Amino acid sequence: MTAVLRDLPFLEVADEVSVGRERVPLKAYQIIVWVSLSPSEVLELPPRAQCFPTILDTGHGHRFSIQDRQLTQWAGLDLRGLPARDRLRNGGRHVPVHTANLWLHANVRGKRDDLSDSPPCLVRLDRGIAVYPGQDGYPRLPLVGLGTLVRNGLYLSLDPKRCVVNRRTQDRKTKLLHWLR
Amino acid sequence: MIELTREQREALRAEKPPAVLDPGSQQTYILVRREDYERLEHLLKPDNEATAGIAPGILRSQQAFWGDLPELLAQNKLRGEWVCYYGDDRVGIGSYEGLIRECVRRGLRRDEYDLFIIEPHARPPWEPEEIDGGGHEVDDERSFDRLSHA
Repeated sequence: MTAVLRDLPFLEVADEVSVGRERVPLKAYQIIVWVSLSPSEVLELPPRAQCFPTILDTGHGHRFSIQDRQLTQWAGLDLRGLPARDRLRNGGRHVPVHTANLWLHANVRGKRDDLSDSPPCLVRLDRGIAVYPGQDGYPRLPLVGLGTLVRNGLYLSLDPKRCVVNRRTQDRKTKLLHWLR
Repeated sequence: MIELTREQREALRAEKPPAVLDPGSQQTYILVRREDYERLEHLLKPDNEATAGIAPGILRSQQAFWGDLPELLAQNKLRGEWVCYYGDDRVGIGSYEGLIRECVRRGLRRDEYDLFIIEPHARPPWEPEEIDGGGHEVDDERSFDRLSHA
């Protein structure tokens, strides 16, 4: 088992998060996870790859959504290097879906914005990433959907008393219990 | 528009699906009702609105995967595995990373191949999926209360 998020805190009040020189407001109860993106043929994330905050949004119907501006400025990627593979419809509008790999950064236990030195975890995106035109301002922060966790066999647990979440890969006990069912 | 004679109409009723032969070119045509054609039209035109913007090599790979999917699903041991197509050619079945490495080793460009999980799919990969975007935000507890009691 590999713990990816360790006692990652979320707040019950509004807050903000810094991305480069930008300070982005956060609403209460938003779970922030730090990620990187790469072209899908990149299987080892370069050490200098840019990382940025996203909202873990279990109500989001796609795997990963981001504004084109955020893709360029926050992820440091050129859309021309990510071929289009699909489109989706959100509220009647078509949004292009591009190939990419998502990398999840482990946090320092108990710290939301301090990242651990351990290598980031590759998250395979079977449906690619939706890239929204920036003029609409949606999504305000990139969104990671529940399907991404499910498709990558990641376990998520939430401790409401301490307001923390933990995410990990499958451990031996879980494998055994799954096999016995 | 070509109008059918009574004899032709009766001949067509007897055959399902109705076929018409052009004796000059020996070309056979299958007749379908307009409503049926309009339902199928998007499948016949790979460059229609549904597929606009998709890299042609990726689209061909998706169509090949879609054609093979019933055969792949018939083999239970393959379910949950990744499969990669380079146009009509199946690169392989295995892990995501292994298949990507194989494509890189072959010198394939990323817009020429695509990868899929072998599992039942509700629709072809190139057809747009309708999603709920989520990300519904409220400013604070008081505004949440206002929404709840509206």
